[in-house]
Amino acid sequence: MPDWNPEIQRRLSPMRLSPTHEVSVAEELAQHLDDHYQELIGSGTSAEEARSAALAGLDRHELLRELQQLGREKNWEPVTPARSDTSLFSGLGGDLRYTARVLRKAPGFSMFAVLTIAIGIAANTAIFSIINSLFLHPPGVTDSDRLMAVRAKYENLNLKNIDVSLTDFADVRDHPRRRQSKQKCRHHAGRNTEEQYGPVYWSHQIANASFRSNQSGIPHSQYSQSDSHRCPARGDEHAFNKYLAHKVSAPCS
Amino acid sequence: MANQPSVSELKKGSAELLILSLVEARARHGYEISKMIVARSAGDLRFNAASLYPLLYRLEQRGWIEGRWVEKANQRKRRYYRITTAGKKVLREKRTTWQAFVTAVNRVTGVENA
Repeated sequence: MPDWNPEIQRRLSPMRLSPTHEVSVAEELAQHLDDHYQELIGSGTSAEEARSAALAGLDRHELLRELQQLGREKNWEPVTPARSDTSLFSGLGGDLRYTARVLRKAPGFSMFAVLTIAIGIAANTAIFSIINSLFLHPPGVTDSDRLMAVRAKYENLNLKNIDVSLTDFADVRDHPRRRQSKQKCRHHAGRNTEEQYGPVYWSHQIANASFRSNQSGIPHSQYSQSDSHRCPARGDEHAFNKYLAHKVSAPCS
Repeated sequence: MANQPSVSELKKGSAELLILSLVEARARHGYEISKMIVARSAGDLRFNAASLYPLLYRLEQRGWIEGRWVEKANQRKRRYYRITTAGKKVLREKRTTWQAFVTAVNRVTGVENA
């Protein structure tokens, strides 16, 4: 069976049909040509003659005149046939051709649509870049997702959750055994362990931390409200950087 | 006769009358309609695809016929057209008008007495 679509599309393309109309009309005309072709073949006509005879009934100028006249009338909305081919990309080529033709018919609208999309993408990218640089990857901090805050607990002093000083920080750095997860801290609370005579440290992950330098040039941290624990605010920058670089293996949840 | 259509409109309207008559009994697809016109007119009347389908769409737009895609077993999908209630009313009027027109022409040309 000949592929009628190229011939039909060539006849329909000069008309100002909506894609919906065009699909419906093309499908129906193809069926008509198929029927005519098969009838001629059945009567002994050669394939080439049958094809030419079938296409002769689809006069381009007559079709153009009739459909243009019809297109000027309102409410013409033929039902679009469902595709019998269930392949996902079966209509891709036709869809692309329709898209190109519709865009070509309305260059002003096409330009407006393209510019709108371009501006939207640019604005989105700009806003994301700002958020990314300010909140997700603040300047001066590498691997911010691994940043930890160290907290201390003194059982005998009834200090459950306090900031650590630089000396405490050195202590936890030099005595890893005292470093526990928050869960373990709770588990050992009140028991006669060696940590009861000294501080127990734990750490928790800092989310959405951003940093700035204070007036003395020593950086300190600012946390989100949910993570209001502050890092040591005093000390030299070198110590603070070491603090930032400190890797805690078991952050509290 | 009030609001009687002109001759040119009658000529044009004859195509509509033919199609409405053919889909009156049951729904038919476009190729079937074209074949029936050829067969019933003994080949004197023919509608090619370029004129038939725009006419079908026009009748459908006016609400006189209704097209519907139908898929039958082992057959390709086809668009069948059936006459609507409004179409039946129009068909009755067109038949009456056409009969009156032909009768009048016959009287003038003397065909009736030939």
